[in-house]
Amino acid sequence: MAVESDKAASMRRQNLIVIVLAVLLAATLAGSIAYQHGAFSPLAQVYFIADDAAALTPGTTVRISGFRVGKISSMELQPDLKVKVTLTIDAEQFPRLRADARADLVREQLKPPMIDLRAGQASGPLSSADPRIGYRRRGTLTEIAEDLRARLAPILDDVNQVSTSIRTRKGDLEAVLANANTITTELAGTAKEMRAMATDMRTRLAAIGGQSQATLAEVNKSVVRIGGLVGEAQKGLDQVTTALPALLQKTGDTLDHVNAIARDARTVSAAAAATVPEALRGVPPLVDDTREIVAGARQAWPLRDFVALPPPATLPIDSLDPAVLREPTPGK
Amino acid sequence: MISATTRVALGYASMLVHAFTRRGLLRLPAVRSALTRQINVTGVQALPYVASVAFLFGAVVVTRAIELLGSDDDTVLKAVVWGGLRELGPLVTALIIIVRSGVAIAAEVALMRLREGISDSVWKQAVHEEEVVLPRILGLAIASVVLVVFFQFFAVVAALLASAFTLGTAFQFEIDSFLTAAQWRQVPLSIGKGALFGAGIGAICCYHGLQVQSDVSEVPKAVVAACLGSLSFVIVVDLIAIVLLLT
Repeated sequence: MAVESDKAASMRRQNLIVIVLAVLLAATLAGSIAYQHGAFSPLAQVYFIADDAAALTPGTTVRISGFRVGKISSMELQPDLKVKVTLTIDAEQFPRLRADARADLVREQLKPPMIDLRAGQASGPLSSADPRIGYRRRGTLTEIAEDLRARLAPILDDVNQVSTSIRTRKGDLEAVLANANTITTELAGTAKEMRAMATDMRTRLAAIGGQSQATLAEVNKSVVRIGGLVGEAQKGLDQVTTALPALLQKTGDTLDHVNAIARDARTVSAAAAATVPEALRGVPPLVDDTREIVAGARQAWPLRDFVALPPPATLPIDSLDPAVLREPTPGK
Repeated sequence: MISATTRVALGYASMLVHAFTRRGLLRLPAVRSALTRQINVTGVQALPYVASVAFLFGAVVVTRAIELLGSDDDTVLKAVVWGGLRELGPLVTALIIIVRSGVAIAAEVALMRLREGISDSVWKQAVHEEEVVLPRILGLAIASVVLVVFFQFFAVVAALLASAFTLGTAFQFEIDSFLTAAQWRQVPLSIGKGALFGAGIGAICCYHGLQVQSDVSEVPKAVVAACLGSLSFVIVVDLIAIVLLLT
């Protein structure tokens, strides 16, 4: 009985361990998948309007630069029979979308379709109030091949027509070719003449070039000489520039002296203006008295014999010099 | 007059309904002991076998997919998700349960009935019913869930290892790609499908075991009927699940 009880307890313990382990594994697996799909991160929604829902299904993967960022969450038929497709993406990707963001439907062979979200390059961000983006369907390889076939078929038809026409008008073509041969021969002669003319022109241009070279050498020499003259002139100007300040200084001093003399003359003139008139008014009677005295003395005989007549006075040339007037002539 | 198929289907359903209405019997120690024994035999003891099959399954599916589809990692991982998580995980687990436990349950119940352990008069009494149907249906459901989870884990790990080894990619990269390709709802859905498979197999096996009359030759017939009935049930339910999920 005890053995049975132990066996039952062992079974219960084993069952408990296995069940707990299974619950943990299931929770880990589901949780990891949900976390990878952003179930625990904030989401944002954008939408676009498609003409039809071909190849679009809820759950279709949405990628940016090859990385899965969301999926198609819902599709609604609009009153104008267009389809509003809502994409649920990671919220952190939303600020990267610009106003010209676009969703491209990518379909490749043997792969489920997916949405390639293009962020755009506009300066403004995508409006959060009306997050509408553009939409474009990329063709599959089969559709591209069909499109190419549709474009190439008319071209191939034209080529076929041209080749047929060439075949049917072979005689005309031979005549055209003969004419072309003649024209080609004439063109060869013309080319030969052109070549000779070009050689002649080259020779003449070489002679002109030699003359031009000699002229240029002369001009160069003249320029060198002019350069020397300019150097000399530059030296003279330098000397003038060096001496000029001293000369100007001396001129300034002289002008200062002249100003001082003028000031003295003005002062003396002013003083003389006050005293000279009075003196001049007293001179005529004095002259008259002196003339009478001298006339009386000349008539008296002692004085007439003892007093010699003064020699005639000679005025110095630079009589304007006040010093000459003030100082007596030496030896007199 | 109803057809045999309808009668059998109603009989299976009556087993499930009977077990559900008598769930209060789980308070009895004898019933709990039978339930523990059933979970241990069907689930714990089958674990090494299921793990081995799952490991081989994951590795073979990936290498075959790479061989067929080239080095298209996305498609290969889609195959792993589809096989390991959604469809083949519960299906293979159910087949293992049928082969290993279902036939045993049918034979056991049939023998119990032959040995007068369960007679028609006694069948109506709770004492013997609780020993037969309820612990087996509930035990198989729980064991099936456990086996499905372990099958998924080992199959996915083996597939990612094989993919990384074959393609020369990093194991971390393969894990990221797998988690991106999978959907978290597939895990609880597959677990629910596994529980439904287990309960159905238990009900079917109990029904056919209880249908044995007083003749030993009917035991193998009951076992074969239980096996075929369980296989049919699993396939039909899986088909219905696929249709429901796709629509």
